[in-house]
Amino acid sequence: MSWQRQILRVNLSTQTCAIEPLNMEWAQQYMGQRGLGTKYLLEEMDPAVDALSPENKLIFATGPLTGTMASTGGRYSVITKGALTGAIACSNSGGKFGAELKFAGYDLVIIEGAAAKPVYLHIENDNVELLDASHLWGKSVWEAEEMIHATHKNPQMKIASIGQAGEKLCRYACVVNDSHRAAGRSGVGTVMGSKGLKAIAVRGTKGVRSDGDMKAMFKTVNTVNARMNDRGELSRDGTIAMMDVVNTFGAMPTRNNREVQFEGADKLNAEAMQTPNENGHTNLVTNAACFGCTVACGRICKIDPTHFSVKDKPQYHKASGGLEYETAYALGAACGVDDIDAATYAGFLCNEYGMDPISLGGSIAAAMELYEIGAITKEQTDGVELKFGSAEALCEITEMVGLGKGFGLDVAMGSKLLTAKYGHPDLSMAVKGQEFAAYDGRGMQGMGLAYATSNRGACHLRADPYSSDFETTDTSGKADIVRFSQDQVASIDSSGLCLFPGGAGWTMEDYCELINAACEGDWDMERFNQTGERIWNIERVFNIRAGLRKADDTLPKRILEEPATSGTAEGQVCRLDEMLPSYYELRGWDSEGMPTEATMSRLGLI
Amino acid sequence: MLGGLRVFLPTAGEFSRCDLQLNEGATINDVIAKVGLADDRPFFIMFDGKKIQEEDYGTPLKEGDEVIMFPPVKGG
Repeated sequence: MSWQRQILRVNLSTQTCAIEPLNMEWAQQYMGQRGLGTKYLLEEMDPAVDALSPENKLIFATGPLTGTMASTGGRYSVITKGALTGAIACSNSGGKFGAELKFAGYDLVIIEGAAAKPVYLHIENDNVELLDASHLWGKSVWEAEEMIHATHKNPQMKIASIGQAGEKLCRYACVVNDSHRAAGRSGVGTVMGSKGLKAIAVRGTKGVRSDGDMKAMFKTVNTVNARMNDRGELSRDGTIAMMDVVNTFGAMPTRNNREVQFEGADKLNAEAMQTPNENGHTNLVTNAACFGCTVACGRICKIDPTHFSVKDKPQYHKASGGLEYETAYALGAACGVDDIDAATYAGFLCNEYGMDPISLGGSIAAAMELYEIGAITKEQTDGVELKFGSAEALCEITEMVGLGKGFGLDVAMGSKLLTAKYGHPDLSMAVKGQEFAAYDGRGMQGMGLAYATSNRGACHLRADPYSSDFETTDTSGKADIVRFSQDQVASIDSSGLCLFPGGAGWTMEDYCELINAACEGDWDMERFNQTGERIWNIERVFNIRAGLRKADDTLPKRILEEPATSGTAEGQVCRLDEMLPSYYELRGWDSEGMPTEATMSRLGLI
Repeated sequence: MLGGLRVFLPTAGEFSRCDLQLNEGATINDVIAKVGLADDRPFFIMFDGKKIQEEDYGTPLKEGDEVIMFPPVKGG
């Protein structure tokens, strides 16, 4: 069980759909999902095109383990040129959509061109059609899902769609599936909006192909599942358990990275989420799992119905996808907001309108700093008192961004363009235009290098320097840890599996065993690592052809020049200059960050 | 005991905290022994606002000191 061996090609300009065989040679070299999608993208389009032009392509890709019985085997990725970054974009999502797409028989869906009027793609196994979406345009993700379900009357159908943010080309719009799971980062939903594609609705009944030894696969799945040794910690507390750890350590980006510890963290942590408030309301309702997952880290939460954000809006009184660690950071600490209900409401709106909460929070934080230094005024913010710590401002601006109204349109550009517009580009806490995740590169030096070198812009899921960073802020050895883990993560992201079992006891060998059991050929650790390295390098090649250079592998001045004000790294800046040259060398790139001919040849890329 | 380590809290305390009674002159090493973490669980220690190295685990404690243990979390 691995590849379905076919792809679906959809041209929105000509309104045609065609089923083609998968290039199995590429599948063997790039596995699936992130790697295979990037390979197709690089082969089929010029990376220099405008991300929002019809020439950009949008690929939905499953992995060989998507839809199998392997734990967490429900992942898919959306690969395109990012609207936020102008770099390679690859955003990964869980839920149940990815497995359904696989069951319909496809490893990849390649979307080309742009539709003259809004459409959605309806897939039922081999029956594929583009349908009019005029009535869906202007609707939220939640409304669109409901309306599509009402049309097709098939409760088993899974839907991935964009909301108003994607339609209005908010630069960090995402693709949301199953109501509250998202391919979140880099503006993949913006590209979908530029193509006039509202949604993909899929029903698949084919199951997954069985190529290999089924008994061996069953055995491996059981063996590897038994190695999860986290005692249910992620299912009980969720990723938000990291709030206390990172804040106490001193790597919590606070108030647009002015500080590294947030005094209100204990109002946004796992304990706050699970403890009744003064009205007896508890934020957390239950946990939730994506397709086939035995970790179940997802949070399902309710906002206190008496909270100012929702007291007159009963439609938000139901339980829905709640705060994960990254959302709690971005819509909390980054903006100096310690109101768990306000952050949960803003998070609900991100799912409803289809926005990346990390970039939204980072952009609002930048706007708050611009406001506090007087670079923007209350007149320019349409009357919003945009101060750090204001839960009311957070909620108001989130609504304005999602619906593309007034000052919300400025914040929807992302922090890079926003801060440039108002004359303070140094206040954008981003790399390649993409806002930081929930770790500060001064407290965590390896993460600083990981952000600077991430092919899709600042990201916490492109490398694994965590243990080393909690161990020491000494930079020696970090370049190799970042490089090596970037390759391994690229392989996991190409498999159909989730990264999070890595925090619940799985080792890289466990992932490799599952891939080896499912896929044709011998997949040992050497091949696993080299496949990741090959993928990392073609992403780099994409970026170089898109015009990115060494100067883009850097961090904001604040992280490089303003020392951390407290915590473990008090007094330290991120010493990127100590790490970047050796990183390039270890990668087999020249001093300008270009892959050398020898490296390209070794990886079979020339 | 932060993050996932709170499952190892030795006494019924608050969400992730508890009080420990230790002998006079007890060290951070004694705290580690008393909470009884599983052998396969890596952890780090913060003391007095900073992450400390293993060679400092012999530091003697005084009444009211706070020892923070946390696991190497990742992702988010």
